[in-house]
Amino acid sequence: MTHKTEAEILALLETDLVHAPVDFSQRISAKIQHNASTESADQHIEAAAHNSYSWWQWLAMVGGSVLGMTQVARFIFGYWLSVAAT
Amino acid sequence: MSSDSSSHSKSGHGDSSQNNSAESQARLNQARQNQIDTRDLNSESPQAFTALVERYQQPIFSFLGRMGFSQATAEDIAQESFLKVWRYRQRYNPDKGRVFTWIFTIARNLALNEIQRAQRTPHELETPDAIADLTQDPSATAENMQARRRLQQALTTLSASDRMTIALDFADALSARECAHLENCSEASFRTRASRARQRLIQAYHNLEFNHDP
Repeated sequence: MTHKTEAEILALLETDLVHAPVDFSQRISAKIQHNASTESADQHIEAAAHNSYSWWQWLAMVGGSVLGMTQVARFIFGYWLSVAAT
Repeated sequence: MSSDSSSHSKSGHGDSSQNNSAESQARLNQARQNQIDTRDLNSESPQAFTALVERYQQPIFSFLGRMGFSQATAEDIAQESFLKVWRYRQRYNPDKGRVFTWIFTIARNLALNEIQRAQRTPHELETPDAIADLTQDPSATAENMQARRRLQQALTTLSASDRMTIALDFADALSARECAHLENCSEASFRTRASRARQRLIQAYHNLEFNHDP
C-alpha cells in the first residue's frame, strides 16, 4: 500500500464518502405520510374522548342542578309548613 | 501545510475579477433556487417536499460523510433532519438565510448531538464502513476502499469542532460566508480553523498509515 500525499488525502476528502440511498426521498415521503396518518388517528381519538367527556359533563351539571333545586324547594316547603303550623 | 491548490475547499484564492463575477452569478442562481425551495417548503404538499429532499439529499450525505459518519448513521441523521424540516417548516425565516442553509443547520446540530451521544457511550463509537466506488478501475477499488476507510477513521479521531470545520469547508453548496456564519466566526477565522483542522486530519491519516503499514 502506497502512502498518500497531502494532496491525495484532500482529493479523497472531496469525494462522497457516503451516498444517499436511491429510495431515500421515497422513505422520507412514506415517513411523512405515516406520521400524518398517526397524528390524524391520535386527533380523532382525542376528539372522541373529548366529546364523550363533554356529554358526561352536561349530564352531571343537569343532575346536580335538579338535585339542588329539589333541596331548595324542600327547604321552602319545610319553612312554610313550620310557619303555617304556628 | 504545503498548499490548498488541489482542494475545492473554501481556502483557495483565484483571480479576483473572475471571482467577483462568478460570485455574483452564483448569488443570483442561489436567489432563484431559494425561491423555488421556499415555494416547495411552503406548499404543504409532500410531493413538493420530496423534490426538495431530492435536491439536497446528496449534499447533506456528503457533509455527514466528511464528518466521519458511517453510511447507516448518516442515513439516520439525514432522515431525522428532513423530517424535522418538514415538521417545523413554518418556522423557516427567509430573512435568516437560504432554505438549504436552514436544512444544513438542522443536520449540523443533529450531527453534533450524535457525536456527543457517541462520546458518552464509547462502546457505540462508529466503526466506519467505506464504500467501494464501482465507477473506478476494479483493481484500484480495494486500495481506494482502504484509503476511504482510513480517512473515515482519521476523521473520527478528530474533535467534533475539527470534523465540523472540515465538513463545512468542503461543502460546495455553502459559501465561506455561510460557513463562517454557521460557525459563529469571521471568514478569516474560519479559513484559519479549516487550515488547522486539515493539518490535523492529514497528521491523523499519516499516523494510521504508519501504525498499519510502517
